[in-house]
Amino acid sequence: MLKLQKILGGVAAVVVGDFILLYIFFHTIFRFFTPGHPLGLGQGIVVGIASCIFFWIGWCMPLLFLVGLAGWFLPGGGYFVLKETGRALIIFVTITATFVAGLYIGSIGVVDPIAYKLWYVVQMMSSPLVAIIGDHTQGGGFPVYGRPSEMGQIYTSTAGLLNLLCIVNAVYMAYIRKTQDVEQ
Amino acid sequence: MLALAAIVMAEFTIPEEIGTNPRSLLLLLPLLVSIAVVYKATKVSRVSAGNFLKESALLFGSILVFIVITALVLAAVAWFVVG
Repeated sequence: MLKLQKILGGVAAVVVGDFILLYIFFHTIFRFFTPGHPLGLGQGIVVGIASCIFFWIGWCMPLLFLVGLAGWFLPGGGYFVLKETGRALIIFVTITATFVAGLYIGSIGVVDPIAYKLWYVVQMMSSPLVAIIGDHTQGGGFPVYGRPSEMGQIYTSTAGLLNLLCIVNAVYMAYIRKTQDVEQ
Repeated sequence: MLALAAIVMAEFTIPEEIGTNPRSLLLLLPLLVSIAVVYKATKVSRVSAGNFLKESALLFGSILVFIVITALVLAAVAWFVVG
């Protein structure tokens, strides 16, 4: 049973990790890969090594991986997995409200994987669903300048960084619980 | 219902008008609330309404006071340098 859990954890880690690497970094941000086209030798080696690392992470720590992944997909999701419902709800509402407020102030144009690469990476920490917005806005279809752009980016990026803090904290909490269980 | 959803979605495609005036700095406050709430949500050992609100308000207040002090110091430095 435990071995099956580890295998599933490893496979899930490879699927999610490769999606992030190929779609978000190689395709959307750095634009040197198009889905459906074969990878070059260098890219293939990078993806191969990364896949081994992802599998190892998922194999060794399936629970920590699940908590981290849930926390990334939905703000507060990591705490929800750990049955900390109150904490999860507060974090979900606050981070989502901050992100939506940023989008309202600066429009969805503040999420642009081409014009604002670094901001985009930080915004992606809120949730991978940000990639859907990035797909619509890339190429400058929703131009935004000046103070609204600045404020929108600050809000959305702060939401991303706060979610990163929550992910790290939830994973640490899961690790502490796991250690305590082993000790008992 | 669909029309209402379309209107709400359309609001997110046009940026708000924010001038470069001192009042626009008030937009910092909601962000500060969010930072204080999330930080305290990760730090308190048990989430109970009274304690959590008190802790968050305390953090919000202390960050705000620190920002005001920093602003005053910077304004004083600028006043000394520029005159």
